[in-house]
Amino acid sequence: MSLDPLPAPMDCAELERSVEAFLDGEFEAREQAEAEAHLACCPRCRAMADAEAARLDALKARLREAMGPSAAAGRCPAALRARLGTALARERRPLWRRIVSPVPLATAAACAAGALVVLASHGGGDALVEEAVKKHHRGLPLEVTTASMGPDAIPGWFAGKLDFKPTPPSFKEKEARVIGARLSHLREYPAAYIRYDLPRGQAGLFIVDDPERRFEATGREVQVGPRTLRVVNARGYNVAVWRQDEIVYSLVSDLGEDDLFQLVRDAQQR
Amino acid sequence: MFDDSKSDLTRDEFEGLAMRHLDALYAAGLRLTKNERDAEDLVQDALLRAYRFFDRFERGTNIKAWLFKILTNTFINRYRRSVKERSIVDGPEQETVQAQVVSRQASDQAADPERWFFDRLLSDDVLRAVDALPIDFRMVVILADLQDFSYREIADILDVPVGTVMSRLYRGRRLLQKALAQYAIDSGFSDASASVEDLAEHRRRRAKSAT
Repeated sequence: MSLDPLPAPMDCAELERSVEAFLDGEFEAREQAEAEAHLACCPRCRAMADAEAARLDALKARLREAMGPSAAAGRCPAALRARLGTALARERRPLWRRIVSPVPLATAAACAAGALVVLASHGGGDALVEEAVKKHHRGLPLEVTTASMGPDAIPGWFAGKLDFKPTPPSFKEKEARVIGARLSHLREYPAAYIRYDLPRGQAGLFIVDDPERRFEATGREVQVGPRTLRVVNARGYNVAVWRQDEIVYSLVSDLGEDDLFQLVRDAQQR
Repeated sequence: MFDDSKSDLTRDEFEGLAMRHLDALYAAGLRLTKNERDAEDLVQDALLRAYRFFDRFERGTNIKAWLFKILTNTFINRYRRSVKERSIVDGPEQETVQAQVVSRQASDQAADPERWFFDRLLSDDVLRAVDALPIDFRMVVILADLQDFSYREIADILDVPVGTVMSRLYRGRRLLQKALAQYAIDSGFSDASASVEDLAEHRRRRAKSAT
């Protein structure tokens, strides 16, 4: 179609027919080179390809805005996420346990000997420690980071996403710096999850609403300042659990016990 | 905690691999079913099915494509009423590439290129336009333009030849653009860039009023 075509292995008609595949990055190296050779010598096709590229970019941008992860239509609702967690747990469990699941397992499993605490393998205490550790350990991608919105904006980010207002303790900046946050859940209950950078290692804080006291804390009881903590070591993490009215906090950390107590002592509830 | 540590591991692996695609699966499910309740059911069904068949997933291959294949299969099996819609699509889809090229030239060059940018369109309009696409086109456009799957991956997900993916994508994009352009005009958003069209419109009106 161009008046004076240089010898190019791909002609205008061919390029025009396959321009979307070209722009979608579907060409093999050889085809790509042929197309580029043609575009280099054919201003008309170049203009056409540029216009097509702009058109596709615009279309993709609109789709991303409307249904990408930053749009409501592109985000899995927290309730569904939580439901899936429960459903997967149920799938995993052996049949006999699924059958007896409405009957709570014996609660007499917890036993303490001196300062040593053996965790019961059931109930909310388990979730506060075991599930929190697992989830924190997995390091799932954060949905929001302080790099993108500043540390003070994190509590606000949870607004409207949870049925309660999570108020993270304000740790001392040099002891624990917020990295970011995501929605999570403990058992089937939606939770806020905030990840912190520590001078050494990281910590993850789960905040869950528990007005009915379904999460019973397990672990060794320690008085830290005005607060009563339950402390458990699980899978190499030291976990501190405490309650403030109806809200339960579970802090999973790489810290030694003393540093963990120090961190909690220095923090103030916002 | 003690009796099923092995399956706990599998579950951890599954959650680690699959849960990060939950937003993408839900976004696609919502556009397929067009309502939140069905989308939630669809995603849950698909994910549990994926978990049950997780041993068949080939480690190291694309888990996202595998999950989307299960999602679309679940959708197709569950919403068989869409079969009617499919048969309508298959006719004109066979249109030759040559004919497509001609129609593209005719329609694109007549249109104001600025209109493709639809910058100020509302997301609701975009969602409505996507939902209005016939189901086969809708799937391909979502898989390609939102989820960035390759033609080959989409062909595997939908069990159709690559050529079919290409023609559906081509037609789906055109239909979507047409609908978006219409929304842009309807909401008056294309005014700023449409001086040429305004003139044409103006002449048409004058011609009308002169008769």
